[in-house]
Amino acid sequence: MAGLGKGSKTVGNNSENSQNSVGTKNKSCDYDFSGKNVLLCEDHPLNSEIAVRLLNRKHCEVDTAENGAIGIELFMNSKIGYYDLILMDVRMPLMDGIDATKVIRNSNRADSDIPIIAMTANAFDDDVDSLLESGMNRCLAKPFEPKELYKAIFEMTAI
Amino acid sequence: MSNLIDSLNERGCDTAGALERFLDDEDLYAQFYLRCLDDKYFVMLGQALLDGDIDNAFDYAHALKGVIGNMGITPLFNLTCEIVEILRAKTKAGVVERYNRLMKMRNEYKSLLNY
Repeated sequence: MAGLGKGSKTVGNNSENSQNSVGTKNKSCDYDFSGKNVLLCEDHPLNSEIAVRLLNRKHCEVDTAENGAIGIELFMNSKIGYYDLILMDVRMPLMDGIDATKVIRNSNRADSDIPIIAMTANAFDDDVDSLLESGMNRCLAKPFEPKELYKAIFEMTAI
Repeated sequence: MSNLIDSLNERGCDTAGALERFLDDEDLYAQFYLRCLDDKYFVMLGQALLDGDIDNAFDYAHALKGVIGNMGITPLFNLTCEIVEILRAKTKAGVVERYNRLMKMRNEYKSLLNY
């Protein structure tokens, strides 16, 4: 997996911050994630569909899970290294993103260090730190801007 | 379809940001717009408030916040944020009044599709 290490915060829906964090607009349009497999854990179908469309636009292959438990099942049943990254909604029914992340991190799989990006509507709350402490690597604020999503995926999956 | 976009812009919605998520496809945006405004959580939130079930009410309001935010319907989003924060504090003060406003506003936004 790509160099992970400590988690970091990626500020989301703030134009000033996004301009600071993205580089050039042209660069954001050039991302091509062909060959990358993403596991998207998001409970709301509308949000999930939007994210899938954005990921497909950059040639990501995407599997979706409507809660953390299903996400874990998909991950655990996949070949080692199949998924390059997990996009994890924080609040989901049955099992939330924090618990799902802990299960993945504590698993014995060789790819248990897979990059996990949290997606939260409360990215400016204090609980962002707890997301990172749970093992997530980054936090994207919802609604995210496509270029921020692409940039985060690029940085987390680049070798 | 630009009538919808124009109407939303006049109401302070962030259609530019939302359309970016829809690859600038206004027809697709309109489809999701209707789905968003018909979301089951509008009704479920009302029922949870009637039942005094703050925990579920918070979950439903939070889900609405995410969806409405994705659609860039800013006035509706802001009102939903207010409801979320009240429920997050485990209170109900003013939340029913806001919910009623939310539903009224939702219907007004749905009617924009008829223009």
